[in-house]
Amino acid sequence: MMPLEQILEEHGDAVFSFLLQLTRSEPDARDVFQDLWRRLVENPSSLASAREPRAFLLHAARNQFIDHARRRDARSRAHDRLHRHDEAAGLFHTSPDPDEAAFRHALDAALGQLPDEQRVVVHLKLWEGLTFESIARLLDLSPNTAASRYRYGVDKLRALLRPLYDEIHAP
Amino acid sequence: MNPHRQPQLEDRLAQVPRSGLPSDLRAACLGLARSAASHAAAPAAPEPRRCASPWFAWLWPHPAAWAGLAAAWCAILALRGLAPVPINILAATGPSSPLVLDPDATRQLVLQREAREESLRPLLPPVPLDIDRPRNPTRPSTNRIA
Repeated sequence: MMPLEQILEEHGDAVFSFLLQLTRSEPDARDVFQDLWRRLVENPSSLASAREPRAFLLHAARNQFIDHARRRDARSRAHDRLHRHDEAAGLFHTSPDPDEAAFRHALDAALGQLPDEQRVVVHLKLWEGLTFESIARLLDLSPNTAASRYRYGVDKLRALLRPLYDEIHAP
Repeated sequence: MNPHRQPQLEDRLAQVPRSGLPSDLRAACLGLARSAASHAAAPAAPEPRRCASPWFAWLWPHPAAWAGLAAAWCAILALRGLAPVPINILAATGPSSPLVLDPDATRQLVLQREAREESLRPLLPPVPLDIDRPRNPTRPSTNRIA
């Protein structure tokens, strides 16, 4: 069985980034990550039967996020939803290049404007490199649904980012 | 729309490096994992003295069961203290209870009492008949009767 330190080293960044994408809030992502890690530490054998540890951890992170969201009252969730769209969630590393920093900030904000189900699929496809079949298994969807959500999400990102993208990459 | 542009944007987006686990959170998680590992590697704490009784073996790791048992006893004692004493219990504890005296002893007592009344009957004054006895001797008679 893989030691917990190695699991954290290999998959910690990906799981935390996924949680940031789900919660759009660093404090919430921290809370969910800590709960998930505590469960793993208490029951490390749960990972032993996983064929793909990364997919297993992402699935467990999503379930932990759902539990976390249920515990919160509806009012605070509505408040978060109101405030998350126009704010960047810190999904990406900052860049010393001003153009690149502006693009990353715009991308972060544009992701916040996507519906949750599209944003999650876009994240898993673009930044985790998962296939639609893997995404479908992870999110309990059909592969066609995962592909269509990805397509809708990318089209919307393109529409939102096109002015800035063209400006930055203009010859 | 230029079809060659679509994968270009997606490739460009995929190259944006995502932020990783914050260093303080990583350190806290590592500390938790190491403490759990050291706890698992440490020799097990001495087990409490075992008793052969299966009841003890069942109840020992369940403090809630102990608490429930204690609560049940408290409830039984409280209900017993609050409830009135049943009549049949009082009767059973009385001197004339059939549960105390057997039939032969009861018959003997009745015969003795009848014999005692027979022997005392000549000493008693004659009992007046109901028709001669005033209705209420303490009440003065009225003018109508006079």
